Parts: sequence; C-alpha cells; structure tokens
Amino acid sequence: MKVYILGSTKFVDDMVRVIDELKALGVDAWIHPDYIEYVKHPEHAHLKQIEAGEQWKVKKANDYIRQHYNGILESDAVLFVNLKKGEIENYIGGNALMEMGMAYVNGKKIYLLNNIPEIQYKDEIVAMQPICLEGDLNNLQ
Amino acid sequence: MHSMVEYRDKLNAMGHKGHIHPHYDAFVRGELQDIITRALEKGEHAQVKIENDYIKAHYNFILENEAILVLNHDKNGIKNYVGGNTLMEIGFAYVNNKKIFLLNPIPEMSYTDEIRAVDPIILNGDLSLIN
Repeated sequence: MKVYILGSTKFVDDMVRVIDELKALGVDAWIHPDYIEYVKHPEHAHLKQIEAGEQWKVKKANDYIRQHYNGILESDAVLFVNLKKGEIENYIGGNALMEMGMAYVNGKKIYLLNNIPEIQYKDEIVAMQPICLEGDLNNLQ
Repeated sequence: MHSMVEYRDKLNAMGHKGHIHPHYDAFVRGELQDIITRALEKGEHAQVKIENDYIKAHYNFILENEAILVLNHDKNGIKNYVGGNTLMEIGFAYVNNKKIFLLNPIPEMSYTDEIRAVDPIILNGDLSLIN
C-alpha cells in the first residue's frame, strides 16, 4: 500500500519522521519532496514567506493544492499527521480538510495519526470516516 | 437553502444553466424535513452526510458543470462565511479546472489562505460578472 503523508506545514518535522518510521514497518510511505527540503533547510525561502503571513502566495506560486492532489491520486491511502497546534489538539487545517475530501471522493483510505479534532468542520471529517491510529503507526493496515 | 434555490433561478433567468442538489429544492418545498431536523437540531449532521453520500454527490455535480458559485453570506458572526464542506468543494472545483465564483469577498477565517490560493472570481454580489 502506497501511503501519502499530509498535514500542516507546522508539523513538517514529524511528518518526515513518520515516513522513516513507516518505512521501517515495511510501508511504502512518501511525502512531497519539498517537505524534506524544509526539514533539511530550516531557512528555506518558503518557510520565511509562510512566517511572514504569505502562505497563500507560496501555495499559489507552486500550485501545491494541485501537486498534493496528484500525490493523493498516485497513492492508495493518505495519512494525516495531526498534532497539537495552538490550543487545538489533533489539528487538521483547511488545506488538509480539502486534501481529505480529495482522497475521500477518489476512494482512498484515510488515516489520522491521532483522533478527530474538536474543530468547526468536525462533522465533515467524521463524515469521511477516517481511520484513527491512536498515535500508533502499527495500527496502519 | 432558500438562497441556493433563489440564485439558481436567477442564473437560469440570465441564460446560464444553474444547478443545485435536488434535495435543496425538496427542502424548500417542505419535503425531506427529517434530514433538516436531524442535521440541524439533533446533532446528526455527519450521519446525514454519510447516509446521503452528500460529499460525493456534490463532487459529481461539480465534475458535471463548468463552474461553481459559492454563496458566501454572513453566518455565525463571520462576514462572507465559507463552511468546511464548501471549502472542500472549492478544492474539488480547483483541481478539476472549474471556474470558482464567490458571491461576496473572501472571508477572514482560518483557511483564508486556501481560498485565496485558488484565485476565485469575486462577484461582489453582481451575477452579471459571470461569463
């Protein structure tokens, strides 16, 4: 099973770590290569732009929404690394919500590393019936 | 719901082919009220979406059309509100190369960046800008 890793850019270190852990478990996990670059280069221009409040420009200039869509189509499943962000446990952002929808309508399995967050669009997430791994990658099947 | 029917009718009167999920028409006619009650009053919104497969239904309607018009009226104290489900639908339209029209300007919400990134056409309430 080919698993595409997604999540908020804030969780990029954990997203890349999860790849390594899944590979050790024999799972064919992958991630957009730019995330690996972000971890290697914390001064990456994109990260600077995001910090400056220009995330939409980074998304648009690199057409990341469509790039991630293609990544989802190429995979059998998606795994969202949903950790604490601000005051919200198990955070899933708007971009991740869109990606979850794309996975759902294309018949991909949807995994969440942790539980469904208490967030404005919780009902939409529940309706897509993701499989929550309870923080344990061994639960991924 | 009433607004969706109203705007679909306005678009059709202008010569466009406006389309909405047929359940919205039914709701306005006073039919299928159990769905409304369960979703809005009994806290069964997610279950209703699952049972009626609304997410995929809307996705398929988007694929069948050339454009989407998002009716982003004020809601929950947020000006020009776009809900989570609508955000997903905006994403579906974008990756399938459909035109995205917003009736009103982009709201200030946690996912403003995502909406801006798909370059929607803002109508400022003027449907004559749809072409």
